[in-house]
Amino acid sequence: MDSDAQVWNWSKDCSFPSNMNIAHDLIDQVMEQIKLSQWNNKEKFAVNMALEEALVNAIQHGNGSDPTKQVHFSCRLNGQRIYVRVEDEGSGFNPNEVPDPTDPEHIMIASGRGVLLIKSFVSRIQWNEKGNVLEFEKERES
Amino acid sequence: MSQQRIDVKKVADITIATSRDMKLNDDLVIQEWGEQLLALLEDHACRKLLVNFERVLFMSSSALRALITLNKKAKEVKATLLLCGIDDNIMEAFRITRLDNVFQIKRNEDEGVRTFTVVTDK
Repeated sequence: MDSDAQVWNWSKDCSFPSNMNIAHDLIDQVMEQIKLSQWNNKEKFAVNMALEEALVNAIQHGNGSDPTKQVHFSCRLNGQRIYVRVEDEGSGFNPNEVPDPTDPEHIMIASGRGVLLIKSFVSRIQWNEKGNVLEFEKERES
Repeated sequence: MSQQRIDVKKVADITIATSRDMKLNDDLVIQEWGEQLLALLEDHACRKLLVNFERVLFMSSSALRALITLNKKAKEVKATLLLCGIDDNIMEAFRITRLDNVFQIKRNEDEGVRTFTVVTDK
């Protein structure tokens, strides 16, 4: 995923402690830009869902909600595309080892839905080898 | 002290709980919302529960997890749980996670009440 190859209208790079209130403020800032770029409701929902689940994963699962650990966030946006990078300071995980929450044996268990939702609502997604850096892109459908 | 997260009313023997918040993604909101729904099932008079989402525009996987807990509780106390008024975008999240096969979901409150009434009349 090469974010440098694009022309972006808006960008944000920041680091913040593991706190969902800060993450929600950040999501609001991104969603305000998405709104200004006139993405439709379905596309806005998809971006909101991917951001929410990516930041929950980084803060709660990656950093274990430890406020001394940081989340490093980058976002680039133009009228057609959004690129997001989320890095936590945890030990990482293997996304391929997350049980499939749609499997009838796992459907009533608590975990795995966040990763599935991110994968389903974005156009491209990748983790680094360690599993503590997530990058995704969402392209407009129209 | 927790905030009221649901509006509750009775239609015959059906308890209808309408979620107040437009977004169900904050941990505290979800915790309070889930606890208030679970508390309804603690009441023996509540064995038909319809949860109305008509005001909700966004729901995270944490809220879906709280609904699974509610579903388990409903089974435990032999109550029937129906959901209604789910926004199209949120419905997509239910479909992706196949939770649309776990929950009985009706289009709106009227349809939910009618479903309970038909089941009772049989």
